[in-house]
Amino acid sequence: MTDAMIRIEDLHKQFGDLRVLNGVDADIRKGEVISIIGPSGCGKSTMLRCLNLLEQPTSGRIVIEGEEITAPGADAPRIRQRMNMVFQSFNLFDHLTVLENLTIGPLQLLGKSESEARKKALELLHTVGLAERANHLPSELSGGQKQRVAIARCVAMDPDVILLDEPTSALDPTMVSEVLAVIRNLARQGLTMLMVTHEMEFARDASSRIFFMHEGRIHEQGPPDQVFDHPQSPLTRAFIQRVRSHVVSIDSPDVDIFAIHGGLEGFCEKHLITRDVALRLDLATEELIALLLPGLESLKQFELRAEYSETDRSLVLSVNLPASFDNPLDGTDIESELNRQVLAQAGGEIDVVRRETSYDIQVTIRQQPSAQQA
Amino acid sequence: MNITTEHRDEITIVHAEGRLDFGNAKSFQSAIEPLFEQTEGHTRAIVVNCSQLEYISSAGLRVFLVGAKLANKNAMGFTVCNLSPLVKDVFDISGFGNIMPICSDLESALITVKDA
Repeated sequence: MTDAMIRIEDLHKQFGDLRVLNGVDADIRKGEVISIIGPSGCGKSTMLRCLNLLEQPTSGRIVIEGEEITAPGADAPRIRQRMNMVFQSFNLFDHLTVLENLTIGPLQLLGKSESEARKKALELLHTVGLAERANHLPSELSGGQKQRVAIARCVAMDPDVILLDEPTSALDPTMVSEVLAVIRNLARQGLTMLMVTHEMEFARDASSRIFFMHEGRIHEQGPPDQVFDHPQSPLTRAFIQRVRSHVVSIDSPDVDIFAIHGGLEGFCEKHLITRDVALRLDLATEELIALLLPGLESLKQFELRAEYSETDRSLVLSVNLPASFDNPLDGTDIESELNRQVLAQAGGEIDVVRRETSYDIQVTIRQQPSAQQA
Repeated sequence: MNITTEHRDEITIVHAEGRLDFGNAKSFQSAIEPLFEQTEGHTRAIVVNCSQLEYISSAGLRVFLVGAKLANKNAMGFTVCNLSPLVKDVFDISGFGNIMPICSDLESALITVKDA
């Protein structure tokens, strides 16, 4: 990409022995709205803080419109003006009025006149719906209002890029939507924004691109429809769909079915999976193990993985087998026919997904009983 | 799983409780097989009451298949009753309804084996 406004190259950040950023590469174009998502501790906020040099990267380069801000002697205060940040905890000046919070930066750092700064501040307060609160102190505002002021203050500095670090995570749920509405409005105005967020629906609606971070890297990126609806990587899918998993490993013919049932029961209880569905998972697991056990000598070991999605509440039991291993579902022997029948009963749907060197058997556990009590 | 038995007239009722799986199917089979061989007490039929049977897998079903064969061999009645929806699904899919009567409750099971 040649028209990148921001280029991040092999960015690393280490705190002592802890590697937080582990080679971030990204190009960001002017006007893009990027939501950065990922599990806690994956480096999202650190990446944002490196962009305006609140954290000094350990290595790597950040180039903004041709200027390398990671070069020795870079002018950090000027860079922060260009990449202004909205924090989770608002960071307003408590002793200044709302209006003064918005004008202090343009007056002292941008050299604007009092009337110019005041006019712009009032315009911005109007935009975020707080013009009538201009002369109030921050202590007189709700959390949502404080964050709207913080966003207006950020825009008042005419930054090239706005960085938002979990702007709604310190707010009561009732105040989240008012702040998201303000951010959405800014996004429509063509401002370049990078936002760390846990608001998945908002990220999907308001962003032009999503970065999914994992272990200090951008693991997957793309337009919201692609990342949310068709994630390429199992890790992204697990995060987006909030997939919780439980693995059953079999490496000996002496299967401890009691322990396996106990493990599955604990997994299901933890994720509030109904008893009926949990029993069907148990059943599918036992039948799949029974079908695979005759092949244990050649397989050496196999793993059954139960995956529960907290978003759509689907529960899938799967096993990955080498392509050279005969699919036990295709067997015709009478001995294992009963296992296949009962497995089909427990799972509403059974799919075989073929890959280059292996295949998956995926059993989607039936959510409803197929028959009423006799 | 727990198994208790009771006798009513010439019928032995087996109360099965808990889970019948790969891990305990053999011990369940060992517990019920002798009931089909009983000559003293003149057992004419066996009813397995599954009201407390929470779970059954194909390993458990095979024991019922063995029971059905033994009942047939010894000219005895054999039926199951009070199946939970999950247990009934498992019986239904494997066509066990064609091998032995499946009754909704204990009373109808007792009538079924008496009439057989």
